Amino acid sequence: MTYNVDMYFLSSLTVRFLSWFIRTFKLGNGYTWPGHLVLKVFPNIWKSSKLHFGKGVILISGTNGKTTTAKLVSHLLGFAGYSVTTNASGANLTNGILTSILLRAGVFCGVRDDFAVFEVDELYLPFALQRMSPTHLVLTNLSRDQLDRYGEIDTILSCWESALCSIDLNLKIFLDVEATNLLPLREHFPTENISFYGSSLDLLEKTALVGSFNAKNVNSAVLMAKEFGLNSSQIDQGLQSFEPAFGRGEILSKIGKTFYIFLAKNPASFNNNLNLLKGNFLDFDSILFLLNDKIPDGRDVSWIYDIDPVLLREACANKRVFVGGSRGLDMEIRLNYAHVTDIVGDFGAAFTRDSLSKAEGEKVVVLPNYSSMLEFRRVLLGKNIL
Amino acid sequence: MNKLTIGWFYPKELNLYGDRGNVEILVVRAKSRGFSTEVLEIDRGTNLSPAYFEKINLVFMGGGPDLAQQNVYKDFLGEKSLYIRDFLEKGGVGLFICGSYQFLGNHYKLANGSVLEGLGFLDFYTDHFGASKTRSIGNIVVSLNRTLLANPYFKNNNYVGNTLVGFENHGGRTYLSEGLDPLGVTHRKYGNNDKDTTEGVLYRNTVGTYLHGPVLARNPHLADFLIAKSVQTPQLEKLDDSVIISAHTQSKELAR
Repeated sequence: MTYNVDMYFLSSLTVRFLSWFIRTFKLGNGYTWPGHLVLKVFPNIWKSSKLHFGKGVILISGTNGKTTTAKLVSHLLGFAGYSVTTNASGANLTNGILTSILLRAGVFCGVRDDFAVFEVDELYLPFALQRMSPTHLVLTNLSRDQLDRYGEIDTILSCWESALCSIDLNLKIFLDVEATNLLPLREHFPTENISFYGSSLDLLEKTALVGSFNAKNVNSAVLMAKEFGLNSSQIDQGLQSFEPAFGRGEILSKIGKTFYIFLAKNPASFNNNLNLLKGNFLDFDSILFLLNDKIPDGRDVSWIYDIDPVLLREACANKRVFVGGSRGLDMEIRLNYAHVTDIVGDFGAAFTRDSLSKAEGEKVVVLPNYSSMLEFRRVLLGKNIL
Repeated sequence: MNKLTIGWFYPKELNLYGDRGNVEILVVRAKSRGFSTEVLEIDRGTNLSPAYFEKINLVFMGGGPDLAQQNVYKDFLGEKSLYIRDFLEKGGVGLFICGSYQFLGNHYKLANGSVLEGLGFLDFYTDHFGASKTRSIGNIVVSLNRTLLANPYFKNNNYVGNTLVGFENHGGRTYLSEGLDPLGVTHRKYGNNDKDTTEGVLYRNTVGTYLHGPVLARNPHLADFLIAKSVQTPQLEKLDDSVIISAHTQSKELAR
């Protein structure tokens, strides 16, 4: 017991100090390294009784939709009066999750919140399942993303399956009834522990979110809220007061322009966003594609040719089109082959407030991949996440 | 001949890393020169006939994960292989990426040790060493085979230079027999295997390569060679490829 207290106490202090240090000297976001160090020194930290959440531990994983779903669930539970620890920063590896928990928990008393709601990177889900004793798991979908990092879909699915087999938990799982490639996972759960959600648009219309792909995120979050006894008026009010997560349909008004940011980091999320834009729901005059090839994006940008060329052409029709990012040229070529030929400009890898403000257009849709989204927000807001 | 007809094998199963982009690129570039185009998608259920195959003047196959490769390979080695062998042996134009390139050889030994028989069209083989060797992943630059560079169908349409750029991501290592020409030689990164610096294979008008990107995106000279050969027009109309050539040049710096 004494050992537990010491381990927890030391971890808590370490994380607080390192996170403060890293942010003060602008060395990073302050989530990755503190948790990383603690896990190196105290790999058993997860077993500490101080990391116990009284009401539940909810994990959300999958290729697309995990950030929005996690934010929806946290918001709904918070709206109903529960306290929630979450990783709104998007730090979704085990180190970032641990940092998020320790920064919010008390130095002496440990976790005080009712719930943990975490989005988890697909590759790290097996670790999280084994160490964090989740009570609820939402799996959104699995499609092609960053093949150089994740490998093939089959590989991830079999890792998930073996992790689910190896743990002995009374875990409840929430699945998209249309995500057929995930349905084999049902076999690892008793029927009463499985809930399915669909793509009905009714609840989506109560939120500020757009796009039918977000309907699934809303439906799974509401199913979760009902699981914990929220009533329909709490849910309705919660949905109405929800604001999109950073870069996921986020609207920023800066430098005399309005930017609508839609993270587009893989073929599925790109096509979803383009489907949204080709309709007339949003009035915009310019469109900016940002493509980076940093490690968190995947070094390989070949996936841009899995974007539907017809959708690209339709979304860009009668708009001013700009590109940027370290692989903006590759995006320009891809657009050209989709018959989007009048590219107005390339901001390159080092775009600035100045260069952005000089670009024509007042209402600008931005389609960035992951690191270019953070970069864009940093340039515009002076900070890249929260 | 004024029509480009692409026989695209297994578009659903074999499409990794945007390989489908190669078909899109070939079609756009051929159309820009006024050629009409047609893409025939050939799946496991497609019954080939000599009349059907006669229309095809370019065969394309993309890469796929091990599982997809196993799913299609029996179908491929059946009747379809006879048509493909005959087509390629007569100098038909073919582009085979990654997993489908491996199919052209004698065998592909999977990570789990089981062996898939290949088409045996070209004398090479591929072994996957499982966990004992890391995957070959990264940006790659290749110096092209001199025979290809000197081929008038390539030379007349080459405004890029003597390199290919792309991205490789494969677990298998390919070993060409002596006397078989590689597509080129790697400067950095792995290519066919991590020993002999060769990348891909070139036989008559058949190109096999590990390059994704997709390979034709930043290598318009290779795309135009394939088109020129397919439509039997040694000199194609020049297109404005200035953006692509800039990207090609920049890409050489990525392979570090």
